[in-house]
Amino acid sequence: MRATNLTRIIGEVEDLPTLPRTILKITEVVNNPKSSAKDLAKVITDDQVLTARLLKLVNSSFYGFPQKISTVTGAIVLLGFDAIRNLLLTTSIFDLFSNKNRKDRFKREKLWDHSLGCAVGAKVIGNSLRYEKIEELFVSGLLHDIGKIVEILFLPGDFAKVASMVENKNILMITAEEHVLGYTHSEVGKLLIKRWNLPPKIVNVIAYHHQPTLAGKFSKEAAIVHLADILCRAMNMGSGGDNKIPPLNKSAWETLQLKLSSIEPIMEEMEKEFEDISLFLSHS
Amino acid sequence: MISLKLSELKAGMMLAKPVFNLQGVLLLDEGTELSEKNIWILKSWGVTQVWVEGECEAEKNRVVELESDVKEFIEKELKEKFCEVLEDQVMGEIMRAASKLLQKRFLKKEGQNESH
Repeated sequence: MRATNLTRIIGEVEDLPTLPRTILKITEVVNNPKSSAKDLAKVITDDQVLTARLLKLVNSSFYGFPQKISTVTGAIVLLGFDAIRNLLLTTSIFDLFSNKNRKDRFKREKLWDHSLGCAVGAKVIGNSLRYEKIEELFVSGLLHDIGKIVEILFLPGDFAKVASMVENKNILMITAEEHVLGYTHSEVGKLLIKRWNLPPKIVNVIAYHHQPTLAGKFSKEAAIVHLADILCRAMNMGSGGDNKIPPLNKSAWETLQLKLSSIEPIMEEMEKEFEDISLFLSHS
Repeated sequence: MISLKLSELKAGMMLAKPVFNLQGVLLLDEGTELSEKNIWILKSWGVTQVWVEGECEAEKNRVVELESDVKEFIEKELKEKFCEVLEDQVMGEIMRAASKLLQKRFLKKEGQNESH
């Protein structure tokens, strides 16, 4: 009942955010097992802006490759298909947050910083767990609250009700959403990410970042983003739209098998990397 | 390094900059430890203000006060944010680490503002 209701609402939203055509094409190429590096390079180099951004980002201190990467093919060989897709996705998501529309811009910038903080957190936690696909964690962190962007941009009436309840009662946004709307940003985000044809792992992490144990075989990834969300809120990186810290899911913490003493170094590393990446993906 | 009036000088203080008379002749070099006699020499040459090593007590106290104010403010904000989840030991550790980090971030910013 609830899911149908939400699908109906989203169905009514006409211009749901779309990814740029090139990104969709890239997703297609990456999802096709028959594609070669050459195929992917061709799609990317057709878009000059994207090419420039890709090279700028892979040569940033954030990726820390010792040698300079000067061609798209070089970047693909070095990083792999998935990583490239995720990287380009990162820059497109940024556009979505910084949509030139003046209204709500401040809110969206805060949300962007929060998302970036969560992405950096997921990356740092992933590194400390020696997780292999760091890019995927980064993008998942960046997208975890994308449902809130949809609410701000396309369901402004609903969002205003939620925001006023958050302010009056000083509660978590997700709690207010449950009360006022009967659906949450996690569910909205899940629908959007599915529509974008992103891999099931990312879909599940976004859908269950508040209940990581429900993410099935992706519960570890969901737990990573769940913890990253908590850490970046504790560290005042942007704002997720409320001023509370979500409770830590006990089984998620156990899944991660982190030591209590590793929390502080993880947060210190997040602080450092957040500054680095902000230089490349900022609103100025 | 602070600038002090002659009347505020005490024996044992260390000059942080050389002192010249009006004609530009060096009276006492930087690094000189002031004695009662040195202070008298400065006075007789009409010197009114000199730079000595160290921090002014009031300034020092101000920094300490500011630091403890900042700490109090940060911890109050964090407690409010964390109030419903603090039973969890992990959350307690996250709050402790966050407090430390936010204080560090504040002082770093403060330092940058001063150097500009």
